[in-house]
Amino acid sequence: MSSTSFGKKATELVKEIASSVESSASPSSIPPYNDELVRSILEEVKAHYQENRSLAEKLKQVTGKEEQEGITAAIQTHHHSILRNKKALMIYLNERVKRIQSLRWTLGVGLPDSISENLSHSERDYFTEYSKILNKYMGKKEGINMNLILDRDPPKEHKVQVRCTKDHGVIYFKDGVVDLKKDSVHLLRREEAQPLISEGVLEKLDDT
Amino acid sequence: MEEDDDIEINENVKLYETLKRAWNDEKNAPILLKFKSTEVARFQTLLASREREIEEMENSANESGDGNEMLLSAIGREELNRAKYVLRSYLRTRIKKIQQFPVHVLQREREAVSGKELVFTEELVKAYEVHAQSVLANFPLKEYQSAFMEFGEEEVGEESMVSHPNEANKMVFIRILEDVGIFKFDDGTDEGDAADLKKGRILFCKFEQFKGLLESSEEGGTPRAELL
Repeated sequence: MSSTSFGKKATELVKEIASSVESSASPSSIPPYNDELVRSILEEVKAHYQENRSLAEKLKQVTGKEEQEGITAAIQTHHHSILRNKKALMIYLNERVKRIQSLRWTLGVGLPDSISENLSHSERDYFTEYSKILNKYMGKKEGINMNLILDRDPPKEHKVQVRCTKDHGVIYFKDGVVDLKKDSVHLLRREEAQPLISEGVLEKLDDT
Repeated sequence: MEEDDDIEINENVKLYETLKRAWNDEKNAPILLKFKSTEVARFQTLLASREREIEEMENSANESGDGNEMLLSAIGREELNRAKYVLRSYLRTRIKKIQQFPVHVLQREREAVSGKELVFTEELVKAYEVHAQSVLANFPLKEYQSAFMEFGEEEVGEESMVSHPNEANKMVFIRILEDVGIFKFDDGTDEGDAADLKKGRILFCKFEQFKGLLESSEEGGTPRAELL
């Protein structure tokens, strides 16, 4: 390990996620999980730790005060390099957690492959777990019995005109049965149409 | 009988006003405010009964095809949707705030959240810890592996990696709703400062200094100020 590279990779990781905040086209986008870089930072951590263990051994053997102080300082440096790497990793992880959570609000419970493939295995698990926790909170049985995903904007009219973008089959709505055929146009209740709009089955026509 | 109805309507209007104010305050406050549990529960009951009434109106309008009835039921439905929006947005704002500092909520704001919000927060923190271990478990020493501590044993509540909202320095606009009189507040000096707060005054001030006014001076009364 060259002494000039301490924390360099960790900085890279933080820069990567920070720059994607500004450059991302839509808030629901998430850059690919940089597994390679995360791994190499963890390797670096291990190397620092190994170094510290052998330094600790050395410390037991030397007797000169000056030498002891030198080794102690080296140990401190390695220790703080580990902490610095840890912080960088957590910044990376936390920023991604925030975005994964907001995906649940914008895209619903099912993630499209194009986004799902950008997540790590553990992140996909976290998304599922987060969905479960949120659903429980909003649910009928143990929660508030209210879907908070609906009504992101103040409601205007209670019905919306929508067009189907694909065949979706027959759906039972409160006002009756509707066959959602591709390119057919319907007037539906906002609260019933909204989930289908976020899924991409319907598109709003009269939104001004 | 009619008088009873009037009283009930007045109560409902007041409840709606209270909830709207709570929603507005919550949106503008830099910290999580105390959950309005009684008001929310009452409001939910009210919404449910309105929902039933309007459904009946809609059904009978659909059957008779009467234009007046249809218009009335449509207006009722729109008004109901607006009321639902207020409640949803109130609860949503709180969840978003909780999500920003979940550990902080568990440590210092337990009394501000509802029972269900507390369960949500606890589960969220647990899920986060599991997820964080996907990276941290690779650290060589146990002392390095905590998601909330930098290293080793730190005191509960003093964890170095837990972030807290910076409430004290946030500036907010606040409108005084009733004559408060001379109000003393802490301005960092020993003797403090005071201001004569008359109804209708709008202040631009530190949230921390005036947050007490968002609550009523007596139990069950109206608040003395609101956030803008």
